[in-house]
Amino acid sequence: MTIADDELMAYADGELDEQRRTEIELALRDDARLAQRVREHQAMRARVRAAFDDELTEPMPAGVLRALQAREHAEASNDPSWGWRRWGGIAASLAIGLLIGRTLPPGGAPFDWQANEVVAGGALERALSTQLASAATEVTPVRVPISFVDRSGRYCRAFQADRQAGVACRSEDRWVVQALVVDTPASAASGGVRQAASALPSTLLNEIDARIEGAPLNSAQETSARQSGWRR
Amino acid sequence: MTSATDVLRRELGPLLPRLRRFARTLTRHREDADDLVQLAVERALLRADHWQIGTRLDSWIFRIMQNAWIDEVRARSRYQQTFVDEELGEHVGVSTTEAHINAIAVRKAVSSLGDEQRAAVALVLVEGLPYKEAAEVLGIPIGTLTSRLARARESLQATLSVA
Repeated sequence: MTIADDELMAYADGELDEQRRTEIELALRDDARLAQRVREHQAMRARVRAAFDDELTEPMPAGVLRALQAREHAEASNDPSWGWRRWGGIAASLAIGLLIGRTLPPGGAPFDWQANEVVAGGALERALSTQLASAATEVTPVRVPISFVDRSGRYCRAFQADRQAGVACRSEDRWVVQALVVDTPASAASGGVRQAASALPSTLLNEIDARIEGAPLNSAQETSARQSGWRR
Repeated sequence: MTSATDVLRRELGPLLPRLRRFARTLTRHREDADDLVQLAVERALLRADHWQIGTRLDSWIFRIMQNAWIDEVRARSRYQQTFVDEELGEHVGVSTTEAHINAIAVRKAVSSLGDEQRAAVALVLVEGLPYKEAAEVLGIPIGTLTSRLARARESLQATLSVA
């Protein structure tokens, strides 16, 4: 049976109907050269795909985020709350696309949608539940620099990972992400390596200011909050 | 504001990284790519009622991007230099793994393809679109798409086996 190279390519790409696919599979058994060619097509596909994978994890420029979020141009430019409030909201919807991959260590997706809320999962959930801001002695993939009680009486914690920073508050047995910003220090944007102990972005500090009741938790309060499973 | 726009806005967010990846392969330039994504997002939201819920949103936006690139953005593209060239410069002296070097070689080989073949590679090999969807994005018959794709693969094979 003669099989054109374009058809082998289509076979390798999973594009043929079942009948033709079966015919080609039969032919491949008897013809090592054809089988080799199919492997080459598959290898090229995998190689090209892999080469572009890491572009998915780079932070999104503000202009694009604004374009997505802008309801009306007039409203966007006149509204003083334009900034972290909206930006945080939209960043949250981006999180799944941006964070899957190498941003956070393995161990499950860092974010999950549950009932229209973004809930921390994986390494983020573990860091929020177990790490103490007051006892941070080593560099960890997710940093939790501040814990506080918000105005509705919940425990909340700020977190910071490779390219994102945010605030999550304890709601029953979940950490609900309240705000998330794409954290793009100049060094990261230009491909450099980020300093481990860098400050929280100012947009996030504003966010904490708007929510915090009193002062951040001290070491004893934080330890006791963790013991109670972050319930009050 | 119509609910179609709100639905679209919600669905678009998680797609942005892929849209930018496609834009970068088309434009071969980071800032041009960001401009193209921004423009496509603005247009998509304006035309939200043209998108049928249940059809592939990625294909629809890729088509908006492809058309905008061909008709407008390409004409005012900033530089001849591709970002793969910038990228090669950036990584000199930085520790690089074999996978990373391989990825740069592949991206450089892809960026050296002509516009038509590059778009076919971006849609089918990188974004994983079926031939039929990719052909619709590009507004060409499937046969034309497969032939562009086959020629692109031959060229990549030749470039990368020498490298």
